[in-house]
Amino acid sequence: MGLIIFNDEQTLIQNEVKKFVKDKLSPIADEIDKKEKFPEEIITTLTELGLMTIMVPEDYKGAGLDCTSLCIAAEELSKECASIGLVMVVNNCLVGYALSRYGTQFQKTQYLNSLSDGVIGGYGFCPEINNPERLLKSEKKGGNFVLSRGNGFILNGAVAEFILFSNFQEKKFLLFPKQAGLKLKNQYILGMRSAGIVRFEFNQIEVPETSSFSFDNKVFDLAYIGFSAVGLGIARAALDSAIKYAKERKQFGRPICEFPMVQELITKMKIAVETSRLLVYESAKCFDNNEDSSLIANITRVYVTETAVLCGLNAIQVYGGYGYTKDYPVERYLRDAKTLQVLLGQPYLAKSLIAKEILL
Amino acid sequence: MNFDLTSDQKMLQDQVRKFARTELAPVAPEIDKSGEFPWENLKKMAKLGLLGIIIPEEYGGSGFDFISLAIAVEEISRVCATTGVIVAVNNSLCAYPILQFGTEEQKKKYLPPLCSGEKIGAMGITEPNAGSDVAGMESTARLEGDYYILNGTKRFITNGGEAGIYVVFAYTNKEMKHKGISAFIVERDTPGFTLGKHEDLMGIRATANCELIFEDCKIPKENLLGEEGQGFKICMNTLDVSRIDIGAQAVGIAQGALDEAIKYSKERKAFGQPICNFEMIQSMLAEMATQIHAARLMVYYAGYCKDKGMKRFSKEAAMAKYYASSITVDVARKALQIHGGYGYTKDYTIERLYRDAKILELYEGTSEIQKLVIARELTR
Ligand SMILES: Cc1cc2nc3c(=O)[nH]c(=O)nc-3n(C[C@H](O)[C@H](O)[C@H](O)COP(=O)(O)OP(=O)(O)OC[C@H]3O[C@@H](n4cnc5c(N)ncnc54)[C@H](O)[C@@H]3O)c2cc1C
Repeated sequence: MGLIIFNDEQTLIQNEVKKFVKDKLSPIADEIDKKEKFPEEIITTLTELGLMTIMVPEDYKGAGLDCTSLCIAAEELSKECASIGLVMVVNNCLVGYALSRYGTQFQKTQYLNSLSDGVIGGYGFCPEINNPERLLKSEKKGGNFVLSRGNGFILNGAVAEFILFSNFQEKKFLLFPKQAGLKLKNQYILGMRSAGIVRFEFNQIEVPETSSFSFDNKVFDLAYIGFSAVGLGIARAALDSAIKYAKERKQFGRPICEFPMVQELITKMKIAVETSRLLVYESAKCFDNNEDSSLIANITRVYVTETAVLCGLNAIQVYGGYGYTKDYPVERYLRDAKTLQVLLGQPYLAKSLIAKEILL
Repeated sequence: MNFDLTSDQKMLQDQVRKFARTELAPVAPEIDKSGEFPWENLKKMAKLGLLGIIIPEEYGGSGFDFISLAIAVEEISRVCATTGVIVAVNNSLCAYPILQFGTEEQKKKYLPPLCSGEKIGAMGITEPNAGSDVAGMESTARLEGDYYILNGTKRFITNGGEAGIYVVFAYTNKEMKHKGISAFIVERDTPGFTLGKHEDLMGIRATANCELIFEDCKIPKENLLGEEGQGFKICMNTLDVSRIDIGAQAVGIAQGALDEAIKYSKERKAFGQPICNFEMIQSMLAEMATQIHAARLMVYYAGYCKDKGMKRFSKEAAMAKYYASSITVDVARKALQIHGGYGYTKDYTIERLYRDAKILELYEGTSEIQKLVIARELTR
C-alpha cells in the first residue's frame, strides 16, 4: 500500500523490531501470557534496544525518534504480545513524552534520565474521569501539594519506580515515587494480564511542589495514537490466526475457508485492519508534523480499538469451540482488545470529544 | 394471541428468580474463579425440581412445559451462566432424548437419577474432527453378542467430567452415511470409558467440560437409544429442542448484563448527577432492553411451538438461538462500556458476563450453522 511511506530510519526500526520479535519474543510470548506476570527480562532487552525511550530526546539518553517509529514498534510488538506493547507505549507516551515535553529541568534530570537505564515509569489514573467526586483532588498546602484521596489504576504499576498521576481534566501531572503512602493491590482483570496493571488507593499524600507540572492535550493525543498501534497489532494477530486456521480446519470435507460465511467473517477483519493501519499512521504523521492531532487521534482510537475487538470476536468465531479455550491465543486477543478499548475511558466519551470538535 | 404466562409458569419464575438471587448469585464469582463444578447448587436445584423440569412426574420430574424450562434457565443464567447451561444440558440434551426416544425400561432406569441430581447428564456429539459437521464423526460401535463395542473420542462435552449418564453418538454403519449413526446411553463406570483432557475455557468455566475416550467400551445392547440408524434424527431433534433453552441461557446472560448496567448507571455520578441521566447511556440501555425483549419473545415462541406439539420447528428454534446469542454478545459489550474503566476488573460481574456471552455463538451449532438451518427451512 502506497499511502503509508516510512523513511529510512523508520524502516530500519521496523526491521529491527521485527527481527527482535522473531528471534527473541516469539518463542516465549505464549509463556509470558500464560504466566500473567510482568515480563521483566524482555522489558530489559527492550530498554537496551532503546524501545522504551523511543521519543525521549538524545540529550536524555533516548532514541530521539518520532511518533511514527513508536507506532511501528508498538504494532510489531503487540502482534506477538499486547501486554508488552502496552507497557512500552505507556512508558514512551504517558511517562517519557510527558516528562520530556512538560517536565521541569529537575524532573528531567532526575526521572527522565533514568528511563534509559531501565527504570520503568507508571501512569496512575482514576477511570471515572467524568466524576468530579472521584477526581484526584490536589490542594496546595505550604510548599506541598496534598492529594486528599483517590483510587484507580496504575499502568506499569507492578514495576514502576515512579508514577505520574493525572486527571484528564485538571491539566496537571503529579509525580511521585511509588513508596509515598500508596497502597497497591494486584487486580485480576479481563485482559492485558502481563502488563503489570495494578489498583491503587491512597489517603492524604503530600508531594513537594516541585513534583507537579502542567501539560496540554498533546500527551493524550500521543497516548491514544500509541494505544491504537497496540490495538492494530492485536487485530493483525487475530486476522493472521484466523486466516491460517481457516485454511487448515476441515469440515464437511472442505477447508472452512471455502465457506462464504467464514469468508465474510475474515474479510470484515481484513477491511477493518487495513483501514486501521491507514488511520494509525495518518495520525502519527499528523502528530510528527506538529499539526493539531486531537480529532484524528480520537477518531483513530475509537475505530482501531473497535477493530481489535471485532477481530478478536471473529477470530474466536472462525475457530469454533477451539477459540473458546486457552489452547489457542484468540480468546486472549479478545480479552486484550476489550481491555485496551476501555482503558483510557469509554469509547462513547471519545465520541463525545469528536462531536465537540466537529459540532459545538 | 396470548402473551400471559400461565399461573404455573409465573409461580416457577418467581420461585427460580428468588432462589437464583439468594442462593446462586452469591457463589457465582467463586465458581468462575475456581472452575469447580457447582455440586452444591445442583443439589439445591434438585430439591426444587429444576433438574427434571420437562420430565413427567412419573419419572421423578416436575412435569412442566418447555416455556417453563426456558423461564427457569433464563433466571438461573441471569446470575450464573455456568449453572444455567448445566441445568439446560441435564434437561434437554440428556433427559429429553431418553424421554422422547427411550424404552420404558430406559426411562425408568435413567430419568429418576437425572431428576434427583443423583447423576448428572451429558451428551457427546462433537469430536476433534467433527464439530459443525456432525455426520463427519468417526466414532464407531459394533454389535458383538450382547454388547455394542464403542470406539472413539468426544470433545468439548459439557458436564463431561462429572456426569453419570451420557447420550453418545457413533456410527453403527459407516456406509449408510448419516443414516448409519446410532445413539447410546452410556454410564460413567462402563469398562473402556475414560475421561481425557479437561478444557480450560474463557467463560462458563465450571461446566466440567471434558473429553470422553472410548476404547473398546462395552455397552449393553439394551442401551441403544431408539433404533440403529436413528441417531442423526435423534441428534437433530434434540438440538431443535435444546436450542430453546440455550436461547434462554443467552437471554438470561443479557438480562444479567442489563441488570448490572442499570444498577451501575443509577449509582455512579458524573457532573453531579447519575450517569443514567445522560443521553448516550440512555441510548445504550434502551437498545439493550429492546434487544432482550425481542430475543425473549422469540425463545418463548420456539418453546410454544414445541409445547403445541408442532412437528417441525427447526427454523423457529434456530432463529431464537441465533438471534438471542448475537444480541447477548452485543448487550454484554454495551454493559461493559457503561461500566467503563472498572468493568474489566474482577470486582464487577460484568467482566464474567462478557466472557460467558461469547460461548452462545459457538455451541449447539455455531451462528453460521443456525443460518444454514434457517435458510434450508426457508427453501425446502
Ligand atoms: C464450552 C463448550 C461446550 C460444549 N458442549 C458440548 C456438549 O455438551 N456436547 C457436544 O457434543 N458438543 C459440545 N460442544 C461443541 C460445540 O458444539 C462445537 O464446538 C460446535 O458445534 C462447533 O464445532 P467446532 O468447534 O468443531 O467448529 P468447526 O465446525 O470447525 O467450525 C469452525 C468455523 O467454521 C464455520 N463453519 C463450519 N462449517 C460451516 C459451513 N458449512 N458453512 C459455514 N460455516 C461453517 C463455523 O461456523 C465456525 O465459524 C461444546 C463446545 C464448547 C466450546
